[in-house]
Formats: sequence, structure tokens, C-alpha cells
Amino acid sequence: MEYCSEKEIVSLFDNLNEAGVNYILLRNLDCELPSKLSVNKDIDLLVNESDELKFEKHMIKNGWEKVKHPLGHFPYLYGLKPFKFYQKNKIKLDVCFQLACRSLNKGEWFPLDMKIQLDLWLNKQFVDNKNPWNYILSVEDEVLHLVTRSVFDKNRFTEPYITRIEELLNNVNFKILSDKFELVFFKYTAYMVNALKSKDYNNIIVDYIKFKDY
Amino acid sequence: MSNPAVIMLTDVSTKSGGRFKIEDNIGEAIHIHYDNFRIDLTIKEFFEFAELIEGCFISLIDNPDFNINNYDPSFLLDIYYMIPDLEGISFEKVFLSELIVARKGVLGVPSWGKLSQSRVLKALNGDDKENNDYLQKNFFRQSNKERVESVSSMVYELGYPFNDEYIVLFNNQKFIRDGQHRAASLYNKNGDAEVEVLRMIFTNNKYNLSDNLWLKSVAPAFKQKIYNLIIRVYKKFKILQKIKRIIFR
Repeated sequence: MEYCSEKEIVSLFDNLNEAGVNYILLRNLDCELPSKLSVNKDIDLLVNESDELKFEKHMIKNGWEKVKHPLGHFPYLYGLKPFKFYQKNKIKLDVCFQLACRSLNKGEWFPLDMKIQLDLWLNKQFVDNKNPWNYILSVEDEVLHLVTRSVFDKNRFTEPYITRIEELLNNVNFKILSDKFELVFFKYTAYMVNALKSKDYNNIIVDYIKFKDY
Repeated sequence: MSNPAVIMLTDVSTKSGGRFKIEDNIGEAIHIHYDNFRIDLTIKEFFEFAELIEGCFISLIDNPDFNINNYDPSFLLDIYYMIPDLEGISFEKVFLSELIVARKGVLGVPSWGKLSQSRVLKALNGDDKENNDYLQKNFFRQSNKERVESVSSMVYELGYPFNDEYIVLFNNQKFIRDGQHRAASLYNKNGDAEVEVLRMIFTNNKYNLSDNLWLKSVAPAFKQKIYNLIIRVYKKFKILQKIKRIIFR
């Protein structure tokens, strides 16, 4: 398997840190970053809306090319800012400005609740380690992100997602997580938390769609 | 607050040109949108409301033979505008081999055929290309293939008619108007047996289908093919222009 250049990935984050761009690395499943990211995959980055212009100028200045999103055109609802896709050599960067998911209806993309969006930036975690990126989502926000992505975007819980969710659940504050889940799953929240606790990943989506206690 | 889990149960235009939509917002509420109004209901309230509407629907049909439980609700939605012309309903036995369905005919244009040539029956026997390519409304997240599997297993396990719902024919014709999956499953299971069907009789044979579907469909089908061809050529032309721009940049 061909991997992206580690040196270039490190340089990407070093440059973003140096430029003071307010960003969060959304996911690093299977610890692929920085040295084992396949050239077929991309880096998922969340950039604060207020830094959009600054980020774009910075990327162009550093030789990144803005290219058409590989998923093509899809509808964005409720004021969701369209995703942007950048490429430099073989590294691909998928950038969003709000935490979003696809609707079960026609697969339109739309942002999660405003409170979730605001909390992301207040609760982002500084990662003081040897990795080049500075910020990741808080434990609760990352669980929310991985679960919404599994339920709404991928329609299944895949192995890397399950592994990471279980890792995060060891340190999660269930009260905070439930408050966040309520903004997405409403009265299904308690069932969702229980399903995660009992690792019932195979039945979550069907149970959720069939849920009628509301 | 926005709910990503919205399942559209109904989305139709009203006679006045407005919208009538019913959405299931999972975990939250059922929303009924009628033009600029929105009514929020719990699932329990929605079921009560549906029962009430069902009662209204029955009382509007002045025909003692009409039993709403004999029809698939989504079929009733498709034919609601025909109901005022309904004159009578009868039950009769027909051989499955006499029933007629639409299928892919010469040059891919739809034509009538015997049930034995049905895309559903073909799918039940392993040849599912025509069925998978067919455009139809299914349950939420159900593929054409899954629908064939689901209906056939219900017919095999529960028999026919299950839930009191019958295969429906109109007037003096033998075209299946609803129930092709059930008919094909029965044919696959029992061969050419006699089954009970429901016949809806409309004033002056209204809503009869043309006997020659192929002739009726050939012009629109070719129009669509030509349109698709033009789009393909246009897209290729656009790609060529893009390549030209890159080369001469």
C-alpha cells in the first residue's frame, strides 16, 4: 500500500499551527496519521468558520490546490457551509466548517445543533504530544461525531469506528454525552447510550429507525 | 434544533397547489405540513389521527362492498382520485397465468406480458437485473431485491391473502394494478393455481389501460433515449473542452 508522505503531513500541521488557524483534527482512526495514511484516504479537518478566509489564503500560499469534492455536488441545508477539498501531491484534505451529518431523508448534509457547534470550539482538546496536530475534539464531541457519522453517513458501525468509540467510552462523561445526544437523537438518547454501553452495534440503526416511543 | 432523522411519509401537492407532507422526525415528533401550517403529533396521536382519516375516507365512499383493509394503503394513495368513479367491487377466482403485467419488451420498451414473464418472477428465479433496474417506490431503505425477498417470504409463510389485502384488477381487464409481487410469489410457489382477486369497477370502464402498451410507450421511450444520448455527448464535449483548456493553459 502506498502511503502519503509523513514529512508533508507534519509540515501541513506545522504550518497551520504557525499561521494560528483555529482547527480541529476530526478523526485519526487506526492511528493512520501521520505515517500510515493511504494515498486513497484523506485527512478530515474542521476549521472554525471565522478562520475560513485565513485558512484558504494559507493553503493556497503553501501550494495546496482547491479541487472539486470527490463526492460531487450534494445539497447543503440549514446554512451549512459547503465542504472544501484540497490536494497537494498525494495528500488530500477534506475540510468542513461545522460538524455535520447526512439526513436520513435524501442524504442532504446539514449541521448538527448550534449548541453542539459552539461547544466544539470551547471544549476542543489540546494534544500535547509528539504528533504535529494541536487540537482534537473533546471525548464527548468525538463520540457524538463518530456515532452520528456511523448512523447517518455510513449507515453502519465499522470496526475502526467501534474500536475508537470503545476507547473513548472509557473516559466519557455520560451526563455530558447524553445532553449532546439529546440534540440529535431526542427521546432515543437513553436507548442510544445503553446500546453503546452494551456494545449492541449491529442493532442500533434498525432499532433507531423503528423507534416509536415519542 | 434540527433532526437528521426525518423520514418523509407523504409528500403530495394539494388541489390548491400547496404542499401536504407528513414527516416522521425520529425520537421527536410526527410533523404534518399543510401549506404554511405545521402540526406536531406524538406517534400515538398520529395513529389516532390516521384512524380518524380512515373513517372519513370510508364514509365518503358510498359503497358497502368497499373494505379499506382489502387494499395496500400506498396503492389507495395512488388511486385516491379514481374513488369517486367507483361503481362496484367484486371478488373472483382467476388463474395466475391469465394475469398480465408490464415488462421490458422489444428494444427495451415496456409491453404487456404474462405473469410468467414478470420481472419479479424472474428475480425470484435468480435473474434479477430487470427488477433491480426498475424504478419503483419501496419501504424506507428497502431495495427492489429486498422487496421481492420480503413479499415472497410473507406469501410463503403466511399464505394469501395476508392482512386481507388482495391482488387488484380494474373493470374487465386482467392487468395487475396492485399485487404483482404477491402474484409472482404465488406462481413461483404453486405454479398456475387459481387465486381470488379483487376487481374494482369504475363508471364507463374509466381508468382502463391501453391494450398495446408497447405502441403507446415507444415514442416516449425513444424520446428519453435521444435525450440521454444528447446529455452524454454534451458531457463528453465538456470533458474535451476541459482537456483542451489544461493542454493550452
